[in-house]
Amino acid sequence: MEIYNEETTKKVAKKINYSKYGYMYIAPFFIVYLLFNLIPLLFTFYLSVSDVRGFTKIGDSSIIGFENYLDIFKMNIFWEALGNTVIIWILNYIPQIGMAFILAKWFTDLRLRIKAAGIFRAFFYMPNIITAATVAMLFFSLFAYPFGPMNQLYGIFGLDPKDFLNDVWIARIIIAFIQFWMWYGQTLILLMAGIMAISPSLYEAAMIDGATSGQMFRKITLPLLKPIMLFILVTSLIGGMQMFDIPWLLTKGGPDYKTRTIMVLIYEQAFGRQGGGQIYNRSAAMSVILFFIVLAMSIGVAYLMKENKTKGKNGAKYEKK
Amino acid sequence: MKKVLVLMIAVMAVLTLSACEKEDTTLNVWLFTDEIKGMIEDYYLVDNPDLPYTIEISITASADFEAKLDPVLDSKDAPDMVALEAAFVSKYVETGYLLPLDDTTDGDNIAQKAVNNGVMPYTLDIGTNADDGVVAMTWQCTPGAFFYRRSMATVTFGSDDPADVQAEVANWDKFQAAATDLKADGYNIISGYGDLTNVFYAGRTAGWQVDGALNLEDSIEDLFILANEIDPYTAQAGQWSDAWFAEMKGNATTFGYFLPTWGLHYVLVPNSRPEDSTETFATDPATSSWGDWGMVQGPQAYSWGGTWIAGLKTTDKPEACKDLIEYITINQEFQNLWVLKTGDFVSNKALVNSIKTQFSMEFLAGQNHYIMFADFAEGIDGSLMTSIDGTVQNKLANELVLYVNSDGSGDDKSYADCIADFKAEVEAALPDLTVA
Repeated sequence: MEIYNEETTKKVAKKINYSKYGYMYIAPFFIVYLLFNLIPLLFTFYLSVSDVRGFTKIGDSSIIGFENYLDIFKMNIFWEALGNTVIIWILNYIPQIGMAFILAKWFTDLRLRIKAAGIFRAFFYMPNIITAATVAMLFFSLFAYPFGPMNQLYGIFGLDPKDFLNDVWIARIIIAFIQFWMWYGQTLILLMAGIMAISPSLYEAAMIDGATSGQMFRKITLPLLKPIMLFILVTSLIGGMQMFDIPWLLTKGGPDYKTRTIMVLIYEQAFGRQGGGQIYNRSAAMSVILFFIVLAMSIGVAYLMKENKTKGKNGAKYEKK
Repeated sequence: MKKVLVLMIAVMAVLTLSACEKEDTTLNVWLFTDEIKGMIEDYYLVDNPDLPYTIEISITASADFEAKLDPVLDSKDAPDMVALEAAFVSKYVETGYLLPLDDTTDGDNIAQKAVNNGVMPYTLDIGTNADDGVVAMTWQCTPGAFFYRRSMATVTFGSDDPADVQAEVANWDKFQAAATDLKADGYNIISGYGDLTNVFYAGRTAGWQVDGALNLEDSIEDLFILANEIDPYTAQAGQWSDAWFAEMKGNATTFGYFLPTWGLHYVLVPNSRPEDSTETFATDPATSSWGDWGMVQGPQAYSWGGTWIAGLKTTDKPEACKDLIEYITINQEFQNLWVLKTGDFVSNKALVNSIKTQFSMEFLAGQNHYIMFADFAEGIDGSLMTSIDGTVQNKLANELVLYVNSDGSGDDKSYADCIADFKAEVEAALPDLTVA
């Protein structure tokens, strides 16, 4: 039986006060974000509508409206760069999700009971912890022409040395492979976490009802993994569209500019490659366009994935029949 | 106790701040090679031992030089002086951030002194800003030549005399014919088709930028066709690659190299034999080509590179800058010593004419390279150089690689496609340029 006297009221009052500590704990993040992320972000928006180029000082700049955006939409190079980005991302993502799924299925399968799954997970995750620059140098040396290891292998089989990084599709595939190799471990871990979160009682019930392995996968695992899949797809999309380090370090956008992703183009416009550069306003405008593209894609993906959900009692979500 | 601590911190802060206010007594010079460093340390400082400031030299590779300089230009972090390579000298001259050198108000008119010396006019033209006058000067003049292997000339043409060899490569048609002849004897006329571009560009009628618009001449198509046809007759080595350097040594198959004045001393001579070797072609033809070289003009007069030196307007020591520039570019005694030590070709007609007969290089089997360069220098057209040269030529080189397609991978790119992509790239990289 609660006694509402002065003492207990004070205790209740103390509970409410704890929230101010919560705000204090998250305040540092917001302060840092404000200084290092939000202000540069707003500055980029300003640059994208200004005339800052070459040695023009910020103080002397003025707003020129959306001229930069119109210029960009007329540039073939911009659309090609977007195309390159999407192509390389698709080449990277499909094997990545496929491989991660297969491995996740094997490692979480109760019947297979693979031993030392934890160690395997660590090995698969390792490529992710190597910095991109190191990986790029590794692959650059690997495929060097004419005497890199791959070409020496070719020599053993009696083939002529091939300039791998100067071939359009081979360069793209190598870049996609590097991205795949670096990120499939991460995807694997997320999928495994998602699968292990599914209650085994569902699988047991399905087995009793006579469901096959494939049916269980399609009707239980996949639908319940949708939130994780969404997360993976969105983060991969954001990361993929911003792909810069590997294409830049490996081929700098060549050959014939066919591995020039949109971020490489943004960098080239701002800082030049073999000359040029210092076109800060156009570079900023491209960044803003990229931002909106990624935003649109993320919203689109999220909408597609959540299409069939409705809210039931107590907030539980279930599929509409 | 707390008050004592606070007082101590305050005193320390004041002391450190006051230390910052001491006057800056260094002259910051940014270079991209150690050539000028040698001039400063071995000559300038020897002649001027009591300078009230120290000269601090910072060397950055030329590929990274612009990226390092651009962000600090016209700010307090800018250096006092910079060396500028021909590839980007025009870009910086046009910015208006360089110190004028013909400022007559304090009596120092370095540019005029240079003219009195008989400086090659094109070097001053390149260093002239429309509003500020002459802002960058060079001590060098960089005419180009064609260096050939005498032993190979004897085998294919029957003579290694420069006059006879020049007759064989006097124009581009003869050059191609000579390539075929040399190939029949197992020699490659040049190391790679990339060697041709600089030379070819010197034959244009106007620079890359005319009245704010891109000037793409029809002769560029000839360059592409020539490069494509000559590719099988070359050693297929890219310029500045390891293979390119290797072909300069004794047992190589390459007949000739297009190199300018500095190319002879800094590229060909050091790479003609293994490091620390003193062998000549006569004593060890397998490793050394020293003494087996000759020099002719080649199919086209050209100039390549060069280093300008300039001060920045933001410097707090304009007189010191001008003094160093004057020493390097005008001081006759210094230039005399420098020429005798390095054989460098200086932009000083009076000096050149007085010493040109003195030279004879054992490397060139006794040929006098100086008198030949003096001759070639007369044919240089400085008006062809513009501030966009570096960018434009790099983009064009990318297309040339695809057109020639040495290793035959993929389809050959047609000239029309190359030019279309080239124009798109130039337009994207140089927004202020009108591209037809």
